[in-house]
Parts: sequence; structure tokens; C-alpha cells
Amino acid sequence: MSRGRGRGRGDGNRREISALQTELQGKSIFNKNGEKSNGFPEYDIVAGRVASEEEKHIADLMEKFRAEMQSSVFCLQPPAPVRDVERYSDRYFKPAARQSLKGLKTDVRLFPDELHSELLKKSTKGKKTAVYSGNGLLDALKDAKDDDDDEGGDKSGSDADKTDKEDGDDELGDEDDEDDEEEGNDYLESYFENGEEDDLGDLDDDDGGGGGDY
Amino acid sequence: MYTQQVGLCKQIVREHYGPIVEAVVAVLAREGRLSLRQLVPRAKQTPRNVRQALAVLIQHGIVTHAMSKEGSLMVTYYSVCLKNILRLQRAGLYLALVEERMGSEGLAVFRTIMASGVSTIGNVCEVLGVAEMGKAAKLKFNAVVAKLVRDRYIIAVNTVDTITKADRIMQAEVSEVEKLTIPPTAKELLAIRRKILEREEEEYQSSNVVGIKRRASADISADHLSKLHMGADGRAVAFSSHGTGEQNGHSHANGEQQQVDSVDDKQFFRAYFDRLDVFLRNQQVVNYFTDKYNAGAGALLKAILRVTEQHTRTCRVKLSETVSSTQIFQHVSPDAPLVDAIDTSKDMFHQKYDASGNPVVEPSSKELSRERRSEIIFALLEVIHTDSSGIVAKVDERGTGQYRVNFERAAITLRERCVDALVHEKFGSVHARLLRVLRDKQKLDEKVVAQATMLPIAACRERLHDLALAGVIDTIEIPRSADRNPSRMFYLWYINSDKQMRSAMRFVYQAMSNVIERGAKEASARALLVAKTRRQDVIADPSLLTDGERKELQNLARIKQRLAVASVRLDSMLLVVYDTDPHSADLQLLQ
Repeated sequence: MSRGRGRGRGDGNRREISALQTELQGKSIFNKNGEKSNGFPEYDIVAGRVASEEEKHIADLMEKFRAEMQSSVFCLQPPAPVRDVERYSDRYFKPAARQSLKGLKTDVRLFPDELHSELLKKSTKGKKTAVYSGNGLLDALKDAKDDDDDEGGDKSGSDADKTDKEDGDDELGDEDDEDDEEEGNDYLESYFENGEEDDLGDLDDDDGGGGGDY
Repeated sequence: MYTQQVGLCKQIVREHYGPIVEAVVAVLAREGRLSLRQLVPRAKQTPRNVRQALAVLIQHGIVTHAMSKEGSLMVTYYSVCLKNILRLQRAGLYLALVEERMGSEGLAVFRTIMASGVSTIGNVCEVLGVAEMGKAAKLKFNAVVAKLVRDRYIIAVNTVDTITKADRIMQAEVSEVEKLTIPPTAKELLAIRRKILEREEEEYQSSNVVGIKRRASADISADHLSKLHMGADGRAVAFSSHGTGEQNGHSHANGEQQQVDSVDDKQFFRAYFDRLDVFLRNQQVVNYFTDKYNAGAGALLKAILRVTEQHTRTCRVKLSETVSSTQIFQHVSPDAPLVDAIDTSKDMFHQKYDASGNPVVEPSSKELSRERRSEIIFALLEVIHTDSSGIVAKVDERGTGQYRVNFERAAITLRERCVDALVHEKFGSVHARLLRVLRDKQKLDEKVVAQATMLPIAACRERLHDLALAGVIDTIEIPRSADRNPSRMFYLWYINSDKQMRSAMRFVYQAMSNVIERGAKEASARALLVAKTRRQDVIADPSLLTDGERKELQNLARIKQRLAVASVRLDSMLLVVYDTDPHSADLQLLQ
């Protein structure tokens, strides 16, 4: 049995006193009997200086300016989320349509070139629009035919004076009629070919003529 | 740049321009100069949104751009100017100042230009509906517009104004260096840079104001004189008989060939905030003298500063032009409270009595005779120029004397006053007393400080460390021995001005940020109610709101007003601490 020498575990009578215990000295950190503790120290809050009329006027001007900026074209808001459920207030709350930056009257020279697309409206002047010209298709087909038939080329030359649109419309109209006729009938073509239409006589005849079989 | 400053700027931009623009500003403030390609992924917005945001920011002068060559490509880089964002918070002060000096017409014009960033006078007329106004109203409007341009409340915009200033200066420097045959020496380079900066000052000081066209009209006969009307400033304004697109401004009625000012309808203008900051700073100086002495002294300072305003371009100017006492006398307002401003009698206890034995009562300020008025003004001038702040200095003793305003001293005085108020508010009167002692005595040991402030040494040490933690004061070490042993050193407490200003600025930015956040919190707590007030049926019939809802809305309006007033007061502090600091001129140079 050690008599105070060494620092072994020693006898059970000896208790180690922690620093926290010595500090507390029997005091409890928990409130007894539900006493309320002051979360914050007592602080004498001094009321601020009352605003003068001039300061109120300045504050009003600032608020009006801020409201003006928030309703202007410069306040960029993300698009509103799509509503899944229709609400009663949607009937009476209609947000005002925001103007685009493209309607802004400003000096474009102040901005770099890469931002001009956001400020300038797209101009359609001078831009060649693709106008459908049915005559162009007709001409292409006829030109292809001209290689075999000269009359097709003359016809296209004479047709050049006519307006392209009229011809185009006529062409379209004819095509539409044909389509209508075709669409109205499921049985457009006989899908069964029994060989009646085939003219096999040409295969053996070198002349390619229409002579009969002997 | 401070964290609190960036946070405040983001909140201000969000309030005025929305979350998309805020995202772009946040990236530019954090990262610095960026091109569009670098900006889009960092801002986490679509390219179109970023382009629109940049267009909005350039329109309002918050972002500038500059081209830079990278290999074979020319890339555009964008930079943000935080100072111009903070000016949005000062809008109320600017508008009130313009309204006071230019009237409601001037306020309408200025507010329209400020809201649109950059605008022509023609656009302003369209917005304000000038075409539907009567003849007299149109004349008054034209006179006000000409005065706004002539006095530089609004300034003409050039294409170089949206180019980053640092790049502009570098390009000007490069073009100057290219003119030389041999590479410049360091001295020559400095001279070139100074010349470039002075050129900008000369353009401002020149009598030709960009945007004003001065033309000589025909001799005015008696018939024409009947058509002259009184303008907003009390001077004659000529009636325009020419076609549309031209507006007449101020005319000098001298009976001979007259110079008539007209404002170019197609020229773009923007608000010139540097000039307005000068007026606000001058107002602060007037308030200082009014608080220290009386309203009469304030009125006299106001007259002196009005005379010097014409040549004071920005708050960075350190000394004003010399002003004679005759000029001051002419500019003192007739209703300035001069009667009880100063006692000029030889015996201050002597009461004057008239023949019937009644005490003599001084007449009101407006009824004062010219001699009595000049006597009071000269006596006040003597007191003001001997003030310990050294703001007004007497330059020439000849004749009635020439005076000059030292804006550098004014800035230092105003800043000290501001910091004293901040410390008093944040820590208390004892800490403020400590600060004043250190300011008077410069560097002191803590024992001497305790004696001077009549505090126990432990309490004094605690308070000194509180101030040091806040960055208001600092220590300097004086070693006793060559080995600089810390235990054998003298530690003296002193005020480090730069550090003090930086901590004051951080405090003001944080306070302004808190005010904005509190306003947003109060609004969000009543978001449903505010949304209800925006419904069309409620707008048409306000009786749909209950009494409780109306009371809550009034409460919200009251809270918003208190917060706005707090914001105005904090911004006045920021003007004193930051914008009027001559040492921050170098920092502001590139902004």
C-alpha cells in the first residue's frame, strides 16, 4: 500500500478534484426553482434623435426614387415561376408588362459592340427575305427537261414575263388539287401488280418496236 | 475595398436593379476586370441576362469597359466602380439639394436624368410633357435647364466617359510617349502623367461648357424688351421665336448685342455627382460653424463657400480661391440672422438706453443698416478666421482683407468630429474622453493617459484596449535597449489617422448594411399584406383593406421612414469620412 509516494492509482479514499469543481465551489450552473436568468446584460437603450422635417423630406425623396427605379426598365427581374394551381388573387394581380431595353433611347456609342444586340432593334430592311417562288422550282424542273426537249426551254423563257407569284400559286393550287384527290383515296395505287401493265415484249426485241409476236 | 463595402454595394444594386444585375456586380467586385466570356459562367446567368445587366450598369455609369489586345483579338474587359453604387444611396440628399437651389422644375429634370442614367434634354421634355406646358412655364423650364448645364449639375457625356479611367490614362500616356523620339526618363514620365491629369482640370475650368451653345442675338429694341420674362434666377430670359429643337436659356440684358445661351437638344447629359458632393461637403462645414458658434457665423460661411463654389470642382481640391470681404458682404443673404450673432460694443455689459430711458432693441436682420451689417460681418470674419480649426484663413491684410478656405483642414475637422460621435455612440462618454485626450496630446503612456482622464489605471487600460480592438487607436513601441526586449519597451498610445478612418468606414458600411437588411426583413414579414395592396381590386377600392391591415401598413411606412432617415444620417457620415478625405484622392483617381 503506497503511502503517498509515487503517482499510481493509489487508494480509493483519494479523490481527484477537477478545476471546474474548485471554481464552482458547490454552486450549480442550472437555475433552481425555475428562476429566470438574464440572457443579455442590462442596457440603457437611448432613443435616437427625432427626425426633422428636412430629413423626412429627404427620406421621402429617396423612397420615391427607389420605387421609380424598381418599376423602370432597368430593374431586371427573372421570369415569374409557372403557377401550377390557379389562385383567386391571379384574377386581380396582373403584373405590368415590362418594357424591353431595346426601346431605350440612349447613345449606342457609349457601349461596346458586343452589347449592341441588347439595345438595338433587329432591322429587317435590306435583308433579303426568302420569298417562295414556285416559278423557281418550275424553272429547275424545266431546265432539267430542257436538256432533252428544246421546247421546254422556250416555254420557260416566255413564262419569264409572267409574275412568279401567280405561277407559284397556280402550281400550288394544282398540287393541292392533286393532293386532295390523292388523299381522299386510300387505294391510290394498286399495290398488287399482276404483270398486266408490264410490257415485257421490249426486253427481247432489240428494235424496241411495237411489232407483234409471231 | 472592404468586405462590408462590397456587401453593402450588392444590397444597393439588388434594391435598385434586381437580382440579375446584383449577380453580375458581385462577380466584378470580387474578381476585378473580366471579359464577357469569363463573366457568364461566374455569374451563373444566361449570356443574354449578363449582356442586359452590363448594358444597364454602363448606362448608369457603374461599370466601365476597355478594349485590350490579346494576341490577334481585341477583347472587351468590364470593371465596376463601387463609388458610383454608393452614390445611389445618396439620391435623397442630391435631390433635396437640387430642389433647394433649382426649384421643382430643376428637381424634375435632374430626377429624370438621374433615373435614366444618360438622357438628352429632348427625351426629358417628352417624359415631363413640356410640349403641353404654357408659354411661361416653358420659358421657366428652359431657363432652369440652361442653369443646370451652366452650373454643371448635369454634364455632357462623351464616348470616352464609359471607358475605364485607368485605361484612358494609359492610352493617353502611350500616345504622349510615342511623340518623343527617345524613351522618356522617370521625371519626364511623371511630367506627362501630371499633364494628362491637369488637362482634365483645364477642360472643366474653361468657360465653354459642353452642351451650351452661345449665340449673339440681334439688338433688342423696346418692342423685344416687352417680351422678356423673369427666369428662375431672377434674371431676364429671352423668348424663343425660332423653330423647334432649340431652347433659350439665360440672357445678359445689357441693352446691346446680347449673348443667349441655348442647350443642345441632342446632346446626352448625365448627373455630375462630384459637383454635388462639393455642395454637400460645404453644407457640413456650414453646420460645423453653426453648431460651434451661431446661425450668423453659419450664414457667413455659407456666403464664403458660395463664392468659392464656382471653381471647386470636386472634394479633392485642397484650397479655395481667394475671396475678398466685399464679395462676402455682397453674397450674405439678406435674411441671415446677424443681429445677435456677435456683440460689437466695447463694453459687453453696457446696455444702451434711448432718450426716454428704455433699452434699445436691435432691429431685425432685414432692417439692419448697411454700416451696422458690415460691422457685424467684419467682426464675425475676425472670429471665424482665428478659429482653432484653421478652416478659414486670412491671406491678405491689405484693405478689408482676402480670405481663403482650407478644405483639407475642413475635412480633418469634420472627420474628427464624426469619429468622436461614433466612439461616443458605440462605447460611451469615457472612451470619447480618452480619444480626445490622445488627439490633443499625441503619443502618451497609459499611466499618463490615466492621469489625464482621471481614471483608475485598470479601467483606463481596459478602455484603451477596447478602442485598439476597434481600430480607433494604436500603439507605438519605443525600445529602451538595443536588443528591443518587449518587457523593457515603452508602449505609447496614439491615433493612427488612416487606420482610424478605415475602421470608421467599415463601421458605417456595416451599419448601412444592417439598415437595409432590417428594411428587407420588415417588408418580408408583411409580404402578403403588401402583395394584397398591389391587387387591382384593392387599388380600385381601398375599403377592401381591414382596419388592422391599414394600421399595419402605416406601421410599415413609419418603420421605412425611420430606416431611411437613419440611412441618410449614415450616408452623411460616409461623405465626411470617405469622399472628403484628401488622402483618398489617390485611391479615387482611378475611379
